[in-house]
Amino acid sequence: MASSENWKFKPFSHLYAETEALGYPLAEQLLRRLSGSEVIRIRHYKDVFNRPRQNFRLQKQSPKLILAVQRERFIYPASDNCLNPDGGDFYYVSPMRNCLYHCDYCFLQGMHQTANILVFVNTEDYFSAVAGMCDRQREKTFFISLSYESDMMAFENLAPLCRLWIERFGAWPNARFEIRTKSTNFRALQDIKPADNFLLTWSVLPQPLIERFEPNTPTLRQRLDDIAQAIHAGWNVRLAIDPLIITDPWQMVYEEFIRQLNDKIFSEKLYDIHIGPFRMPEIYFNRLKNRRGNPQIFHASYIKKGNIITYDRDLWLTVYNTILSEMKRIIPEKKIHTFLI
Amino acid sequence: MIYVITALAPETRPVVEYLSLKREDAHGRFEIYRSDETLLIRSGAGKILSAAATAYLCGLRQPEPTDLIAQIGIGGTSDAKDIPGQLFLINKITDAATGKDYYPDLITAHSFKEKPLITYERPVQKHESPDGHSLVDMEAAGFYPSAQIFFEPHRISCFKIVSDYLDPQGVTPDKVSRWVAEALPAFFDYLNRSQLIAGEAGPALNARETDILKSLCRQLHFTKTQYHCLHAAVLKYKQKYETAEHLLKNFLGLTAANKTESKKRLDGIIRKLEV
Repeated sequence: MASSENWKFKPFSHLYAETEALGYPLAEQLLRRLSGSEVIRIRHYKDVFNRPRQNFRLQKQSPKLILAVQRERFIYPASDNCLNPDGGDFYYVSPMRNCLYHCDYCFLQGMHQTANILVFVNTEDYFSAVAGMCDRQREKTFFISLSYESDMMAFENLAPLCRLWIERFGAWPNARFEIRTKSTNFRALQDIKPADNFLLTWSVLPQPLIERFEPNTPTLRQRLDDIAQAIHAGWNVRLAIDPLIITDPWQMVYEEFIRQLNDKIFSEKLYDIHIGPFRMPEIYFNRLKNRRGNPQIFHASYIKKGNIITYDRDLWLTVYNTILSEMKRIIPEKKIHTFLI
Repeated sequence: MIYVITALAPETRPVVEYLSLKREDAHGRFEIYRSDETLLIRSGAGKILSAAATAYLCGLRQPEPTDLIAQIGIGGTSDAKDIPGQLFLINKITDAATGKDYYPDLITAHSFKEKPLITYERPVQKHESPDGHSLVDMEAAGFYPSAQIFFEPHRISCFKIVSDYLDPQGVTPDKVSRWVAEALPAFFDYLNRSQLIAGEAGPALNARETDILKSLCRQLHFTKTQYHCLHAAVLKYKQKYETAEHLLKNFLGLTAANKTESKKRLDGIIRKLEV
């Protein structure tokens, strides 16, 4: 328990566990690692995760952990708003939902009722579902995002999900996997033999924007150090500048950013770079605005395209073309992929 | 404002005395007591009465964003480790009749022991308790769903004091009143801290307001508690007015040479924010 001097509970002071989840090895591991936490037994994770009128902002400061068994659906088709330059059928799985970080622009705040972190402990069932899908259609290539609704690598010290997935699917013939992170936790995977069909993707932004919009995340320099280590160890590493945030003075900020990338990253060894504008379903955008108290990021000049809120196309093209011409100096153009609006 | 629900007279009396609450007339079936910061209702025993009393109390005054609601009362246990008079903060409430579970959101750190609780519609005997770990009562599963119509889960609390091992023979009104009286300082300390935290959940301050607030705290030597009080007052102000920036700027010339002056300055600023 937290001391009485602390007014809010520390993260994971409480662990809500479905009774059915308790027998799984991952649940046992988490219970051991969080042995000081109060364990509250629950019937179904939705009774806690989907409670109405939860306060996202307060929960972010004192998140709880929910352990559950996924009984319904294991694999989802990826959204049209995701970039997939390698082709293949694009899916995502969500062995974890919600993230340790609290970035201003994160769509999870609009998607979920809660900031509490949900871990599905029946990992073997996820494996069977993915292996079954890939086995049934061997003529196809699948691209599967593993951390679409979370930052699994940031959580790896508590729940080694990245390790489990890499060990299970590391040499799978017709499936490629992506693990996306903002963390500097590559050390947790350092002893694993690099798997060719796994992409480790780091989300990056210029440092001034990290400070403004990604509170409590590692600095750009720290992320670049981790990226360099992963490349050096032989992993396929992708950089995601996605969402690319436009805020004045964007030109100066991004020029300095690209200079830092060039200093730190051996671009010829980088797998590729993804660039995408801020974009979010309108319903999430409005919910997020209410929950975050209308932060500065919502004051940019956005347009509505279908049900998606994004940048005005002219503004985006001006910024993107400028950044692209700088970027081409440090990495071959064929390795730069962009989400078009 | 803190809304408090009790069931029985021996549970109610110590709260009334502790806060010097005044009884209000003309509430028919329910006893209601009030001060500037607290509203108390005595529901009577049972789930339905607790739900009705909670709704009645919330209907008297529309809850504001920093208001909280809490129930305090006695409950039985079949856990031999529990001690009569021991206070528990409830982390899960189960309605024995419907099987439905309710979970208050526990954000405020505390040093109470926590337990789940099962609400029955009639007194239960030791052999009937389905879960030896849970406390049992007759009200919480009425109070909680009614409270959550008006309050978010982080603003609802339920406290239970162990009265007996599912055999209420030796439980006297005097004992109950003494147990409740002993629990009240910790109970209200928790609620007061929770109230300040609830203030942070309202509309956020913008960067300039935050900067001014920090400057004020530095130059007037405010403590962490004073900072939270001022923060809560500014947030409340912002619910009425779009920005607090101009008003806060007026205070930037103030100084405080000692703790007494700091306190005086804080009271003065909060008074102006409340106008």
